[in-house]
Amino acid sequence: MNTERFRARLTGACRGAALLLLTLVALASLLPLYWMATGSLKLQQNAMSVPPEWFPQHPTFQNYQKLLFGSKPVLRWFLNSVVTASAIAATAVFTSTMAGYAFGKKRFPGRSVLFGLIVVTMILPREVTLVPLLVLMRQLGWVDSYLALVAPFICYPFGIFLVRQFMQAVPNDLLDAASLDGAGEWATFARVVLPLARPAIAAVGIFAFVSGWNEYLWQLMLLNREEMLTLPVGVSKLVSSLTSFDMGVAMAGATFAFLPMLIVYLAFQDYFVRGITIGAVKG
Amino acid sequence: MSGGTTRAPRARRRSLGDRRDAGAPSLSPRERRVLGWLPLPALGLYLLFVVGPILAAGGLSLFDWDGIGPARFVGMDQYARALFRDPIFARSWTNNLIYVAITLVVEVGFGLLFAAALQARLPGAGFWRALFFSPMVLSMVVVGLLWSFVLNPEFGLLNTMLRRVGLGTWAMAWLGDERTALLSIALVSCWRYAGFYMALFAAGLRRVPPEVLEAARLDGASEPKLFTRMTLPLLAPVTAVALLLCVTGGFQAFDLFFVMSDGGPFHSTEVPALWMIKKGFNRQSLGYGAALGVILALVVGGLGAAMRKVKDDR
Repeated sequence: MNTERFRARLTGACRGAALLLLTLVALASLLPLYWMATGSLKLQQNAMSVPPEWFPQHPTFQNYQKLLFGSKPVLRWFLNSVVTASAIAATAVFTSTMAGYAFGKKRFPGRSVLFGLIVVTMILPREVTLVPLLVLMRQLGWVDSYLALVAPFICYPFGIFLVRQFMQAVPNDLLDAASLDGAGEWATFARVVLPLARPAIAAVGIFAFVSGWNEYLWQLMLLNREEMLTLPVGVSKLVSSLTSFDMGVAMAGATFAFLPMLIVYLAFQDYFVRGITIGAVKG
Repeated sequence: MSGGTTRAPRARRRSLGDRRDAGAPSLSPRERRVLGWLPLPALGLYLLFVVGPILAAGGLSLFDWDGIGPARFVGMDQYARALFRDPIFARSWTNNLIYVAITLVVEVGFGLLFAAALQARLPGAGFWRALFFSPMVLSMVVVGLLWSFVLNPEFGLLNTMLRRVGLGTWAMAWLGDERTALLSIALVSCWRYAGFYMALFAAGLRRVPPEVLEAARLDGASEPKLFTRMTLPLLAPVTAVALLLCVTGGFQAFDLFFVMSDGGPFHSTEVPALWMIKKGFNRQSLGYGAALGVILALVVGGLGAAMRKVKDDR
């Protein structure tokens, strides 16, 4: 009985320690974001004050005004990013669902080899394909176009992987029942598979959207015309062109570049976790 | 141990086996025809935009080419140059190894720690989980910008805070100093990714049957012992995935290095992917850049294959 009480206390201590650890780490990891976000609302002289002003005394949108309506088409960049990321998400969902279903539920010649190839490219450095891909885009005349921003990411290996993992867990009986009812392959796919796979599809869509939005290297190398830049590329170029006298605007730029993703994340949190859960089941 | 607890994992295993065996219902010829169509869009694009360029990079690496004029075949010379005559490339691998070692310990370690802490049925577990995962959705560029501000020698948050608490002598140009630049970038990467590994481990932990732990608890195992003896071994498959992702991802690190230091100062944060891009986008060395890319791909692919093999053999 004595040991039991001891153990209870030990467990309590463990929980206390865990809570303390989490709080400390959370504070440390949130602080920089908070500092930047509030910094973007301060006047220049206050943004750089020492010690930092924890609560902006005179919050102002002046920096955002300069950022959004200044010399650079920042709103257009935002729009470019929205178009690119949405198109990548929509097309990646389309291809991933079809391929993932086939890989997960059907047997066809070369299935395991092909799937192995796709898994391999999930871990291969994309940098390798960059130069040839750019040459290809030039030959197609696609430089500085939405097509070139989207096309290389329509086939989304992680999405195929995710849908396949998910489909493998779907009992065959459900599919068999549909085909016994006389539904053809396409009808089964549309009426049974798609509704069943909705959680996986949503996860793929959101992951593809976020990775499309955050894709940097490709956009940086591909884009030349200022009005075709995407938000991350444009903002990073803008910030590196600013002097430290414009720190407030730089912070506003970086904050404006991360806010959309933060909103997407807060809105679709569960799908992120679900996606990782599906993916982690069998690696 | 009671019978109930031993039965649970066994039943679980069986259902996994069923799933694998159940592979495919039998097909009619018509169905076979349709099936060929399903993966086609993905595979076609995959060939065009992934496999094609990889092969093209392999071909390009055998030539000396400025992108316009006639290409000169040089065979394996670019590879010889990379392996024996490019000290910066060698340096970049050392840097990358250090970076991967740091991220491996800190990212995966903290990820596991957070996941275990969340497991302790804390109040607001969902809140913590959401919070730690949130840096994952930020683009690397934004993360790089944010931390360049924080690490700025004059007005950066870190130095300001250090001076504030009387450690002013510690304040330094974190990214401008050869001794701290690599470490700083590695820790920024940890800030972004620890939450991802936490989510991965948390997903794994959720699949650890609670009855098993409960039974061990009843048998008198202490919580730390429970963690090392039961939870960790049960987590082994997830850990293997985490290590694989961390190592293969770590050798492709580019964005942070590009935004925060561009390889400097004095190549102390040069990494292979960055060096490869610098070479590959220089008209004088298109072929050389391709060769560096192929080497990088072979190393990462080899590492990935080796780690998968070790995992499967276990």
